[in-house]
Amino acid sequence: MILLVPISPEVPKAHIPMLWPALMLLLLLGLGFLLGFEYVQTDFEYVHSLKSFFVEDESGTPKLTEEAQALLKKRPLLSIAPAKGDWDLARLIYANFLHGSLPHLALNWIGVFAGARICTTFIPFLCTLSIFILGGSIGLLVSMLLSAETSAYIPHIGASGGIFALMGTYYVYNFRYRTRYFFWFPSRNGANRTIGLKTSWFFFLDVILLELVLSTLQFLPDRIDSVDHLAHVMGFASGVVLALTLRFFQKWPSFLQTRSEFLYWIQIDRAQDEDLLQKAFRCWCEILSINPYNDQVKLHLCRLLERHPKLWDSAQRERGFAYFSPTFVRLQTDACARVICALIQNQISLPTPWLIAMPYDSIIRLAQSIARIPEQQAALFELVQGYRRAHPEGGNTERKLELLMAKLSTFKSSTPPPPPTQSTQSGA
Amino acid sequence: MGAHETSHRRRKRSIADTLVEAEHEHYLDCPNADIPIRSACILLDVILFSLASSGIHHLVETLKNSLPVLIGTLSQPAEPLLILGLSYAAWLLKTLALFMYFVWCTLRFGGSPAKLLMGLRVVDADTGERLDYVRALLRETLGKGLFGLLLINPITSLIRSDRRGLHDLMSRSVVKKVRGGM
Repeated sequence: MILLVPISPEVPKAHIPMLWPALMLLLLLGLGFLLGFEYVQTDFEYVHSLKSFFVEDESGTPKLTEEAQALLKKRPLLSIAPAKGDWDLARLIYANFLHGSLPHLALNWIGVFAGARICTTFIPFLCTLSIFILGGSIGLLVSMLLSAETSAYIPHIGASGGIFALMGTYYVYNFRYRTRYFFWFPSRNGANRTIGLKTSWFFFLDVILLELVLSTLQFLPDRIDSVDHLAHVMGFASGVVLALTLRFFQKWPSFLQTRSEFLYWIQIDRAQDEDLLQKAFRCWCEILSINPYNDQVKLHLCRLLERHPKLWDSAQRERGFAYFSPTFVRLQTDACARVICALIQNQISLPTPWLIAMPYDSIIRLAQSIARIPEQQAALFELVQGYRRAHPEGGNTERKLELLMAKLSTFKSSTPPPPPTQSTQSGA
Repeated sequence: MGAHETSHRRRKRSIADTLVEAEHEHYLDCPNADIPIRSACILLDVILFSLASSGIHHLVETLKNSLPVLIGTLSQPAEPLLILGLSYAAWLLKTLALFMYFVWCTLRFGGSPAKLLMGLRVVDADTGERLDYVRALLRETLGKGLFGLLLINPITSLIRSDRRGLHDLMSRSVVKKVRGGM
């Protein structure tokens, strides 16, 4: 039971997944169902008529007679769907669009809609469709060949293998980022809320872990349900492999999240006519202006600011720091603390607009990270003093800062002085 | 006598201690969490925990179903014993997961995963510190489990202006909204 529904990757509004590729795939599934419906109904009646051929063994388990096995070979559904004893490539592909009943189709429609929609943030529709068909077919084939079944003529149909392949694709492309889940609760502004959770572990826990457990049952003759869990797991695995292959040929760097960022990345002029570091800074900032949620690029920006603190003018520092939001500071405190230390040790003041925007608890968090290394404790006093200067308005924050400064001043005499610097740059 | 002397020999106060203290003072200044957001946290905790719980349940059920194949060579009387053992193991695992999810998380991080996601912290009502083991256990087991089921906690929260339930009062804790969350 999935109570939290993944609705999209955590991206800005402009990159929210599109609807049309998902609707197109729904249409294809609907068409497949309509075309195969007659076969499904005839097959149902045919199998029903074979009930008298079932016999029970000593333990009471129903078994098929040899005559029934021969009759099952002639099932009407086998003319369009694959089974272990009778299959070909065309039927294997077509099976992804076939469904046994309207509820089966309706459930898979939901899955296909969600799967195809979330993939549009990363890949074009044709790639989505190809992964759906290829991944689903591989899932069905593996499940068909490996499942322990009472007869070799049980057809394997349904889009669920393909749905899981799309989920595998999403898992690869959004692995290092977060997924927005639908979660409603009453809030003062009355808006529906979403919740962002790490894709790497939560999406896996939510979608796959249970399937992995259930699929192991399919290797046993006595199954607990008629769901093809093995096709789900194999579909997911093939989706992961196909997405990794696609990413390899696309030369998609792992630090890019959305397709817009990738399109910007591939058109960057890589000629050596500009200073490499300046170009890197500009590129990171432009990618972040496309997707300000991309924490991986923010980490690259952090490293750049940390390694070459004297290279940037105040406007550049202000631009870079504008992307270090309170959430990013909370999640990547150590990386931010290293940048701050590097700037302060080079006697470069921190951008005032960033200090003004930062909440008090983020500053405390940064200070805690800086305080871990005794040599950096001078930077800690500078950070708190800079924050104090940026917040002269009075009130509760000022009171807390005064108290903190008074407490910290007792340690100041015992800390080593900052290393001598060659040049001094003015802050923003 | 020696023990008395040891209690006076205090650890030297460090910058990290001062910063932790500042963090605790900041938590005390934050507003108390309102009822809607706390209700949302309960719902989210139920969802998240049911995921873990159903995972354990299915794992054990799979093992139980595959037992005849896995231990086909064992003698017949061993099978019911193993199934019983698995049922107890499932019960033990679920209790452990429950403990880790609610008590350990409150002790270690200052709230259950849903509270942390929503930017809430369970802190000492007087000092702003995280709860100690006994109080966290009292709050999350007896306080939430018993009084929550008897609807005493929500009623107390609704009546009191500081929105503290009976489980908060008995553990001298308060739930603070420390950031925007999500």
